[in-house]
Amino acid sequence: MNEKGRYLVGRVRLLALAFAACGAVFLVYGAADLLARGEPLTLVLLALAAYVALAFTAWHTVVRPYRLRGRAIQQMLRGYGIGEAERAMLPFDSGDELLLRQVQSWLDPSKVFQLNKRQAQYLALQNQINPHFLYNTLESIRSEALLAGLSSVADMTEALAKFFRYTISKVENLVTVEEELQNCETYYHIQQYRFAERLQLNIRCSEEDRAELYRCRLPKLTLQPILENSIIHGTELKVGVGHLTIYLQKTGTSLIIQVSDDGVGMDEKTLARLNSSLGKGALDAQMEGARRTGVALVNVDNRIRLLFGEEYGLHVYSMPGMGTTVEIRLPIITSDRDIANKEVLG
Amino acid sequence: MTREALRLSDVTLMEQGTAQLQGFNLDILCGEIMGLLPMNGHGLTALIDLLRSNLQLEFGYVYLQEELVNSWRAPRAHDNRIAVISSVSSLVDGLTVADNIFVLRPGFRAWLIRPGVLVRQVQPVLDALGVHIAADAYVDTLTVFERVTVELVKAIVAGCRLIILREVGALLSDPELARLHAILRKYAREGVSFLYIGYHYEELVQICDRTAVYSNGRVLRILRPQDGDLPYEERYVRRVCEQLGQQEPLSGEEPVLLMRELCAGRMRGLSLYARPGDCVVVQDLQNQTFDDLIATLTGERAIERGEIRLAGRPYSPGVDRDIAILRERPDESMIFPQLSYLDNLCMTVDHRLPAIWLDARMRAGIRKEWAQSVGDEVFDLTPAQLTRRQRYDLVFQRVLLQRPKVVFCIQPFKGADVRLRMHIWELLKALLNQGIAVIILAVNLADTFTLATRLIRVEQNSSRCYEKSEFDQLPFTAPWLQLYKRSADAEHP
Repeated sequence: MNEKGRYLVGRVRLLALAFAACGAVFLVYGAADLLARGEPLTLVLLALAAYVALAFTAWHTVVRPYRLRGRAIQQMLRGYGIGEAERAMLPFDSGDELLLRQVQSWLDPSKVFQLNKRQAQYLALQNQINPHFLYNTLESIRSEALLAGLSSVADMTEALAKFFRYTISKVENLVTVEEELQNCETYYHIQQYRFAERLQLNIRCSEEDRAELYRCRLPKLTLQPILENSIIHGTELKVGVGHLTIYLQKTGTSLIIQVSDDGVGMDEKTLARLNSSLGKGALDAQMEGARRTGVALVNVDNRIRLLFGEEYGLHVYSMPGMGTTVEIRLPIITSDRDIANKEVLG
Repeated sequence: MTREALRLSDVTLMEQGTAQLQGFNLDILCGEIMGLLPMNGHGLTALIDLLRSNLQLEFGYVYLQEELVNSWRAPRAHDNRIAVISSVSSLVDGLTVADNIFVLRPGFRAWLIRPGVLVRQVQPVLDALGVHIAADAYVDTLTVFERVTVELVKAIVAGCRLIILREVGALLSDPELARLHAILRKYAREGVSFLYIGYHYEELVQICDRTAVYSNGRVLRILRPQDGDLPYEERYVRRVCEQLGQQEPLSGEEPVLLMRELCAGRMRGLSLYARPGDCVVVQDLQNQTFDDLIATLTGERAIERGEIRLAGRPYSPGVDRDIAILRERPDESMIFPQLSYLDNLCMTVDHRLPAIWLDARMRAGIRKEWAQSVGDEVFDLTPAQLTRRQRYDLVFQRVLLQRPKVVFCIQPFKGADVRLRMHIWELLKALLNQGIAVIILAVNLADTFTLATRLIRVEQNSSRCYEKSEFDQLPFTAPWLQLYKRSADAEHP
């Protein structure tokens, strides 16, 4: 098949040309017939005028908007703002109209600016933090604290250094469940200095499956942001002791991790909004997530879906006064080779 | 490692432009009994249809035994091997138990049916369950419990590894329910999974490994038995406790209804009495006398022995506005869809206002009076446009307008979701507050027990009456019994 025939519009063009040619043939044949029968010339001229008017209308209502649309798309692909051209873009149908609106909302300059601003802030922060400088400083604080006999400060500093060492380096990597759980425990250890006995963490799984579960791999920093969310939005607002549970389970095809708290929970509307922001397109969800629900869950969910496919990800269950559970569903992977979308890792 | 029997991932299902399920997530493990507690019934039927028939999805994935069976990208037209057991029988009348189990099974290809062989094959299965059902018995003769058990066996024999039980608790008495639970556990140990849909958390918590709280086409929370009571139940418990503190039997008044040794059909020797404002709960442990009792009241069946006295005079069965009967699911069974809201409301008021159907002003007066409590807009709606709650309101308002002395309610909470149950409870309370005696006919005590002044337990040709003061000493377990015991302990520390 030639290059033009690959596109549906090429075929439509061909068909339209064929119809136009047929129309012209019929018109010429009709005019010749009318003249041969001695009919007045005005009738022939009227038919000719109608044909030209039709062609003119078709040019203005179909061909021209279509060309403008093509040009606008080309501009957009070259990285230019589509600006004025976007107004000339006529949608093919209602689905196409929705698609165009979505693209236009993605390219909304204020949103792009916000995203760029956040990226710039992140880069600035990353540039400021020299990991080795940070670790060395924390180690120095720890030594000073030990010399001064402040063992709790030394412990806390050690935990913080351990947490940063894990968090800052190679965020794009996959890690084992065991490493993620260790990081959660470190984070919990740091939070205990603030909450003391008011916070309890329990990690549960079937003893039979423990070794296998701990070997499974998942994106780095999957559990800790969720645990942090549970503390901030769940147990911190609760009167009395807050219980956090991480429950791991393995089925034939999936690794299921549930992070639960017995905190204040949330109402049905908030829950619906939160769940609907999960599993959306990456950019849209980031924007919505930042505005409404906090970026942590949306970010973790996006990373999982981009890496493993849309049948995996996060889902939140909650009721007012009954706590919240975030269920993470992942494929069972023990090697980076098993990842469906390896190129996403970069 | 545990295998998943069912997994619905992010399922959104639309029907006629309305979202029936939205981001619905649920997984059931092999050998698990998963409860489903609907706060409201929106999308519940669509969920069951989806599980059975793989409807076209707006978004999401459905996995059965860890295999993708339906996806929004590529819908499949075949049915899943999932059985549904509900109040409507799926057995074919006129055939035997063995025929229903084997012959009507998908994939049965024998040309010659040998009843003797079928009976020999099915009888050991039934015996192993500890139920005494003859394999050659016709299904028309089975009790509800036996019917449910046969449907269960039929599903297992047909190879269903997931069975949906929809509100079976409302069909069976407490002992029958306990026997059914034992059977379910036995099959669960063999790897069969169940989705057990019920509107009573206290019932679900007894049998289910986990319970999904469902509302508006979404799962809100997955609860384990150790998670404690639902907050909604707590609110309900508080109302019940208030009720326990309020209601005092009016011991001085004459009974408005008296039944003495009543025998008709399978009902043998039923005795009860009710004073104005009393709530008498009649619990039939065999689940077979209510039809005869209602038929006796309506005059369809003659009284063989015993008598009924209403307000001190002998009651002659037939149409009598002093007795009202609220049938099961009155929102469906007692509303005339072709009549207006007002006509439905005035249906049984003719004994008080004989000119009601001739005098439009009289009906307008009733509309004006009731509009103050229910709002004027409902009168402009057709019954089909009413919500379920509004339909229940309509039926109970009709009874209040009728002003009977006694109301018989057949399983008033059957089929009602958690929120509707609380509303029905309030509606029944309104009847009692008007001094109307309410006789609740129930196979399962559940919510009815909380309103009871008196409990009559009917079992095998005998009945036993318990007054409210004896509730804390009842020799069986029942929902809410703990509250009565707590209340009695508080009074006599």
